[in-house]
Amino acid sequence: MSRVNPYEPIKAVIREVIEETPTIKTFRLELDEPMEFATGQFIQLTVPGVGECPFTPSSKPGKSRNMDVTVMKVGTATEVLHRKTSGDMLAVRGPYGNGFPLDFLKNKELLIVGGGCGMAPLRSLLYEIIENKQDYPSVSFLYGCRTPEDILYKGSFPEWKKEIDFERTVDKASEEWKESEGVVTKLFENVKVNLKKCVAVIVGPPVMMKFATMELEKKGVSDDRIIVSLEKNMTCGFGKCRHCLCGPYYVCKDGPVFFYKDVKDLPDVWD
Amino acid sequence: MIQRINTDRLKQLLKDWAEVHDVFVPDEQGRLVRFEEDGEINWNIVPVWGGLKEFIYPPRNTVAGSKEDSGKLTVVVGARDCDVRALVNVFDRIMLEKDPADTVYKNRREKIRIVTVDCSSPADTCFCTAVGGKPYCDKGFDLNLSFIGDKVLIETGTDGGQALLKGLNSKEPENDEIDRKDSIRDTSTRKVKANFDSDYKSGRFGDRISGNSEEKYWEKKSEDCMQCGGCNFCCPTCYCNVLNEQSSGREIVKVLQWDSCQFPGYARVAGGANPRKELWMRFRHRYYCKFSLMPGEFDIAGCTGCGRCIQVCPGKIDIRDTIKGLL
Repeated sequence: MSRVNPYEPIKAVIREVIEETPTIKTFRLELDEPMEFATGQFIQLTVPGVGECPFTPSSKPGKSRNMDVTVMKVGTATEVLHRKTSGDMLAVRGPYGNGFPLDFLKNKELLIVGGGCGMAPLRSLLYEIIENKQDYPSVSFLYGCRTPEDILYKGSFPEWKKEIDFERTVDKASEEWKESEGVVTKLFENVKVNLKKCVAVIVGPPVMMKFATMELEKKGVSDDRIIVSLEKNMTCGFGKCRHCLCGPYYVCKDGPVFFYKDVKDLPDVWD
Repeated sequence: MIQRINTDRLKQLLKDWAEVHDVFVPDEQGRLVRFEEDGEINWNIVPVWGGLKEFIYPPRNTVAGSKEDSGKLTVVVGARDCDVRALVNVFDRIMLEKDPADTVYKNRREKIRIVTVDCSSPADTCFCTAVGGKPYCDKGFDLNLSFIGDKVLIETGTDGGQALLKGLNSKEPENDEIDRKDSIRDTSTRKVKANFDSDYKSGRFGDRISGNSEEKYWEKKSEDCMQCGGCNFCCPTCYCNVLNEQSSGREIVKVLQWDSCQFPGYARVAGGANPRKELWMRFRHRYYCKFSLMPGEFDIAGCTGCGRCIQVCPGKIDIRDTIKGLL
């Protein structure tokens, strides 16, 4: 925590806005001061005068004044945010939460499963993995979206494909689409990593995570080898507002990244 | 140290404090209001609205951006053990001890002096003894007042309390006065115990409150809930808040505002998912938070038995009945 007052954010300027899909944009920010975050941690982004929302940065983890935040237009604040352009002021608090357990992931076979906008936090994990390839010898990345249009970071795909095993699928293909069609769990059939040994990291909409975890368990991935990132209403970000409580956990502090075994029996985990 | 003065001298003491500090006392209805020389003070009534919480953790609180600060001390006279137990065991721990500390809370906390009062006539809704409390305060106060007839025994709890008594001409209490104080406390304790002679820790209460079980029970119990949040707002342990973004121009302004877990949108996310969509789920969550989560986090229940939620509930829901039904 860089600031004495935890509610005081760091101002940031939008340097570039990248239109990823019709409803998703990546905002390339320059912060007034550098902020250090680990992949999977989240920040609270202030849209001045409108609201504040939690996002996991999609840029390379580490300490920097530059940060990418990929935002889907779903509510009041993100609606206004989507109208912002280069030069507009925002503000950032954080980072908060635990992030992905990199020490646990290192030197294991990894199966990473992303759905829709869940690709945003996974891009920052991808940067980490590609930059430290020696620590991650075997990685399979599966990414599912509704349509080809909804796919994030389309331009980076060829580059990533060179670095790791990377498969994409869409629920509903277009005529030009040459890759898989169907829900992401279909790709589990021919996955290259050994499901009896691998660690799975799943990030996506709740319904996708629910079915992906169920399917993986059926295929022999035990619940202590499945890692999920939960989305709850995180207002303060540091365990003082109680909004994000899920069972006995503060999702903002104890999470947002959890081992599936710790949260699978909580009644409201996917709601 | 315990000193004795008479009630007239207490009035003078309040006047002296009010000249330099912001002083609040309980009015006829038991609200803590600014002390005025000709105002009525009711030392017997248990404050319902305007409890101690509001002074340290106001309903709307600017936590980033321009703040006004008079620099004065706030002296709250008339807080009870149920207030102070919540403040010390829940608020101080979450806001100060758990990292990161809330610096705005810290500043406010340092500028407050708490003068507690023994409960000489507990309300029918009081049940502090069932959740580990007492109708009198023995720690966490700066000064404590015990009224016996036209005399007041003042116990000093801190240096800050001692400073408020500087220059006070007082006497040491006689033994029989101490005895009378203790006897009033015993009588009050018996009365409170008679209001609710159970312990939430007994039976299966903790187990039955967690998980998604007992749906029928919670549906029934929440039938009369109007989702007004009154129970949360008057509760001395409830601190749920929502951070409002109120920046204009280049200045970032954030206002922390009380929130209620009974509101439908409390846990909803922008995408629409809501872990507690149904009223009974939110209703149950309040009990789960107070009697299962908070005991784990703070070593005390998130209920100090003040009974305020019983008094303010427009649906006449009695927390004691809800607990009893699960014991």
